[in-house]
Amino acid sequence: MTRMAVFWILIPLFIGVLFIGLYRNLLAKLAVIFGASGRFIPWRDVDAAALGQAYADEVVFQRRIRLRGRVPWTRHILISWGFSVLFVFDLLTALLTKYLPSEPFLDGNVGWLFLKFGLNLSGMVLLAGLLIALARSVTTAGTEHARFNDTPGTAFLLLVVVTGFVAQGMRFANVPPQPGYGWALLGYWMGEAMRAGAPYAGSHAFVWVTHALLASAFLAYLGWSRMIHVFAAPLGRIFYSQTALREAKVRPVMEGLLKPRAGSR
Amino acid sequence: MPPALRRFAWWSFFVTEAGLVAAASAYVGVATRDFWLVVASAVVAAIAYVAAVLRTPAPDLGDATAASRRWFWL
Repeated sequence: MTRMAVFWILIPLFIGVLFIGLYRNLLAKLAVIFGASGRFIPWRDVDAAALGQAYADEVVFQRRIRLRGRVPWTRHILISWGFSVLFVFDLLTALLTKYLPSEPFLDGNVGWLFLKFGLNLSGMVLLAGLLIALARSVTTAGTEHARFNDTPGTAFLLLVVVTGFVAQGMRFANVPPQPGYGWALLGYWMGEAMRAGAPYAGSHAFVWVTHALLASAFLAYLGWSRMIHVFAAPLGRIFYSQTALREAKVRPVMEGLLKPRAGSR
Repeated sequence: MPPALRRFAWWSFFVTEAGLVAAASAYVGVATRDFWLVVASAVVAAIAYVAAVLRTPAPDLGDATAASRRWFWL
């Protein structure tokens, strides 16, 4: 059984755990809020301009987090964009090198180097954000500023990223250097730094499997921790950008307040 | 739970799991030992998900808003 096969056997389970978490901790609670606020608004009443504006403000530029300060905003934007772009490059790499392999995406060719560049650049952006977050967790511990810290989530994701870079470094250290490998940035630099201990055979397999399992487990963890905000926060902000939905929430409350109380005249 | 949200909960899960099994089978092959292990993994996930959906009590508004305060959403 190959390492990738082990990963593929486990991933439906991990994603199942993510979905269970999302159902219990997001959908079930969302349902109550919709029930109280007049539920969904019809498609024809969706304000597309407000939706686009909310998406740009809350997801792309994260302006609300900018109000908390420059450091929290930098930390959050590096982590969220680093993670998102890395995830896309991960999918592209699996698709273009494993499922639909073609000449440009073979080891060392231009497409392969492009994927390595994207993976490593986004991974480095994510790593920088996580290091800022970890430093901030330490420096703000016990203060009001610690309210938005997520130290367990940060440490977990940092472990995923570090094992990924180490696995990649071992892989580069195991092969002779080639022109163009420098586009792999930190992965390549780590490989050169680790070359003295090469070849890494069993240890590379161990670190690769550890990284794959940790990355999959992190996806499951998203639904059961504060990291659920990855799904919930943009969703909530985008919903509340809709005037019709806000009105649907306020109306029953106001009607309830205006109703005469039982026993009153 | 509104029927549309419940439908979304079912469809999103089963479509995702089916997609994963399809993607895995492109790698491990169809009707191989590893393929059946992938299917078994998806079936276990499905059983756990169905049980979770059926057994999750409907929270009241207090639970729901407390969760949003705790996790900073909505």
